[in-house]
Amino acid sequence: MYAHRTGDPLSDADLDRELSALVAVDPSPEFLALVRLRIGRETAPSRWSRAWVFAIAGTCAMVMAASMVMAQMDHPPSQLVAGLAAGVPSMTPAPLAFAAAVARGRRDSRGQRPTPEMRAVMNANAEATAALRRHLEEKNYSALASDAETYRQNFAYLEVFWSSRRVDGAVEISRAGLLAAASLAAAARARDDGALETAIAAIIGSCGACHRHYREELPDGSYEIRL
Amino acid sequence: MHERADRLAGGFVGVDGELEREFEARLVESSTLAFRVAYSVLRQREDAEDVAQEAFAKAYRNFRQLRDRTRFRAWLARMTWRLAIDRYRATNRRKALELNAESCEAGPSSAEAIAVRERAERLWQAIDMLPEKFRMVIVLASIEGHEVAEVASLLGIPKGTVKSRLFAARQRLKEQLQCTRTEPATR
Repeated sequence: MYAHRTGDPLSDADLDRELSALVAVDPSPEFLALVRLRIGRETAPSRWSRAWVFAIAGTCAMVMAASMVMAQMDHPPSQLVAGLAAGVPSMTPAPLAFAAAVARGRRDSRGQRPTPEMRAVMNANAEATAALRRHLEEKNYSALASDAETYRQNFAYLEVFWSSRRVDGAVEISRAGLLAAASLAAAARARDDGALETAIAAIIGSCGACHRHYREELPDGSYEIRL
Repeated sequence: MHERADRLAGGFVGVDGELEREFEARLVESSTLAFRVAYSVLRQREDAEDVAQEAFAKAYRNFRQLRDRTRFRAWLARMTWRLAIDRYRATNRRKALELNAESCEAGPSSAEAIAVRERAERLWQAIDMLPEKFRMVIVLASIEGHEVAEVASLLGIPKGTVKSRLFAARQRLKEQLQCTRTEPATR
């Protein structure tokens, strides 16, 4: 830190230098990886929350019912009541069925405790992710190639794991991860930092997508696989 | 190969994949800012990292709602500041704040190192005595050498306001430091 001489008036420049030195503290090397892991545990930001789905479905049903009433205003009351009785039930199921399907989709998904192999693969991926950014900053291309190999093996395992359970979406993500791992290996061989950044983003995107769609955190902090 | 990987990941994830990549880019460019903002309030590396992580997690959850993505750093800086203040108040650790760990770790405990550490401690104390609006401006201006316009953008206030707050903050800091410097001489 810059230290000015005692007795001298403190200038703005001196003060600014001292202040800059004071806050020039860098986070630990694993900070970014820890942020990514934390984000990986987050629920995906959803465009359609369940409450919104039901609210919109309810609004649609009300609008349709109201328009039906308006359309039949010229008819005698008996016809109006009969029309409502016949029409409303036949119309409301469409939007409500959509909302129910969204809710049912969640209910129908089965949870399964991860196998020891799956846990080992996830831990290995987490360790590789924690090291990835550091290796990139250090320009340690051989370590990055080694990380790529770890990912390749792990995504290959995941592809088989999900294929055997016929979870097509997760299979697709695993394949995207495999391709990203291959890109990472190629970029490490070519010592191409820009391509490395792209490949790392693709790997992290794959991990995050799979966690959001196929992983469920339990109240005790452990995880279940969502099938 | 990259294109294929991106396409495949994007093909399944769609807009989420795009957002994911955009967020990753923002994360890389803003991680030091978030950490330093938190550190300037908490003065503890572990706490600062934890709060910065929390800020990023919150930013991630709400990233879709951020209409102007160029405002990400400002949004994140303000969020981190608030979270750090909340953490600070909740744990009430002001008295337990320790000296900048960097200076402790960096050099030997020579007389010069001790003097630098004491100087840093006095400066932090002076910063702590500033009203929050001044503190935020002076800290943000000191982080990564932000110019007045950048601080104004980060805080969403006019440049003139930043200038006047910076001026006032510097004056107060100088007065505080001047007082503490002259104390030994008056003994």
